[in-house]
Amino acid sequence: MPNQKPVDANLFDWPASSPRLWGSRCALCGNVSFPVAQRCTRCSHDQQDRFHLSTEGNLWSWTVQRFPPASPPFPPSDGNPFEPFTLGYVELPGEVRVISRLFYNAQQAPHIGQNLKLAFKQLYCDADGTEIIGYGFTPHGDTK
Amino acid sequence: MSTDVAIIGLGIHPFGRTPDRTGLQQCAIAVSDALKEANVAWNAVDFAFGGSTDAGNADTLVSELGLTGIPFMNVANGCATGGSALAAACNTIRSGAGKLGLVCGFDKHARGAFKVNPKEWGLGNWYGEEGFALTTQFFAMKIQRYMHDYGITEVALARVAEKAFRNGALNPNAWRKTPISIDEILTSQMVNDPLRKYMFCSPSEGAVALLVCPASDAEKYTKTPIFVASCLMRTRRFGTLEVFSPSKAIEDQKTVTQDASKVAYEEAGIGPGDIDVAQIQDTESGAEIMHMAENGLCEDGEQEHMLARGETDLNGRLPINTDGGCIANGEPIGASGLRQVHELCLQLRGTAGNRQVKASPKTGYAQVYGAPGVSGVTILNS
Ligand SMILES: [Zn+2]
Repeated sequence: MPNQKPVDANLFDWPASSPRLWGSRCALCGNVSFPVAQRCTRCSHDQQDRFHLSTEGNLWSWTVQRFPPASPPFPPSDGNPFEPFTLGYVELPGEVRVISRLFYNAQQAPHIGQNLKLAFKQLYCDADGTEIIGYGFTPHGDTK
Repeated sequence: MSTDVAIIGLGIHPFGRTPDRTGLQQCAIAVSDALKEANVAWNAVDFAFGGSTDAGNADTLVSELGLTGIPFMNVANGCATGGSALAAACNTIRSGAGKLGLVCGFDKHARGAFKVNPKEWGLGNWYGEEGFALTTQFFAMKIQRYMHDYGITEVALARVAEKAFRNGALNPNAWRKTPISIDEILTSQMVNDPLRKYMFCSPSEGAVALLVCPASDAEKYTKTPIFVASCLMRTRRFGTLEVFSPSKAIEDQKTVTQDASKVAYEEAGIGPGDIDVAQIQDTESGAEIMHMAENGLCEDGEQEHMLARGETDLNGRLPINTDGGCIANGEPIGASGLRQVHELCLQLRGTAGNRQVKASPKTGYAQVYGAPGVSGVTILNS
């Protein structure tokens, strides 16, 4: 099995038996941040406690990226044709809305309110063959 | 407000593509036009504020215009650069530190979407590797949610773009001067759902220059001074959705534009009902729709009917983006906000030519928005 690593080690642990996104909660006002914050953007308090965000949420808004983003920072195409991808803000109830890739199969389409669960996918391979893993959400169960 | 500020000279270099001139050269042309209009020499100007994002340092203009030793401050506030420069110049006049100021903005961007380095925006590189470092996505997701919440349709998005190209066709300084039909807009390539190719503005080139002085001096320079009733910018507060946000609080708050707008109306001592003509940030057609409400010019959801009835057309009840806005002019970041002010001045003077709105508008409103969540509002009176 090739080496794998997370797109950013502060976002989630990888490899892990049940990987989850890291967030932080303000020790003073309870505001939840993603990614982990050093200081609260609501009250400016500087004690922020790291915790695992919910793995389930619902779709707050979405779009499809239909043209290739500039590279860098987007991974180089390596000669492969660009494939449009879906992204959105996923509301994790009681926590925060996070920006995320959205993974759909051919039978699925995004709609606001849809139930989603956390998923992971290879974004690209770096120069030494290490697979870089990104996070996303995918449809799950009944949708509102 | 202690000292009232007057705009007494205007200059603009056409927007679009000018391959044989640098951004600085375009700006020098705009400045000399403004000086000619006010009938003053460059050496009479005693301070300047200016900015560009991709076309060099504004203070370098002194080597084009003359080395007179004045303080010339560079301003860099993304799309709010022009608004911030004008706000700083107004404060300089009000404080008594300056008597005749130049405010200028210019830019010259490469073709294609703006290239974003996540680190410059306080984000990890992962943000770009996941494919999130695009301003266009933000506008798409914001309008997607807005359409869901307030029943705005795709046709309304197309009407905004159609109006922009129609107005652009009447503006000799615009980049896009060819009208495009609603059908053509609605069948153009999807870029970031629900936004299509002809609903977006593109990075472009251009320059604008304004001269400002205390209102009491205005008659020395012009018969048609335009007075600044308010000019300010604000940054985002907690809880709003902005460009380059990895997350957003679940609680919704007033947007940065709502904040800036509210203070601007208070400073000017007027309300949205007093506005005769407006230029508001239309990075894409969804932004114009949302900014109509955020600037108090309508209620959320009213835009659908207002657009269908042509209320924001040149001959409508509240003409918006009369020069074609960003959609027809493109967006040279440093110049964009001052283009709005320039257009308002023409409309308030009654010299906007083929696109002049009803007989004599008295009060104009301009608003710019940009990354990472800044908004600038200017209110002008004739
Ligand atoms: Zn807090």
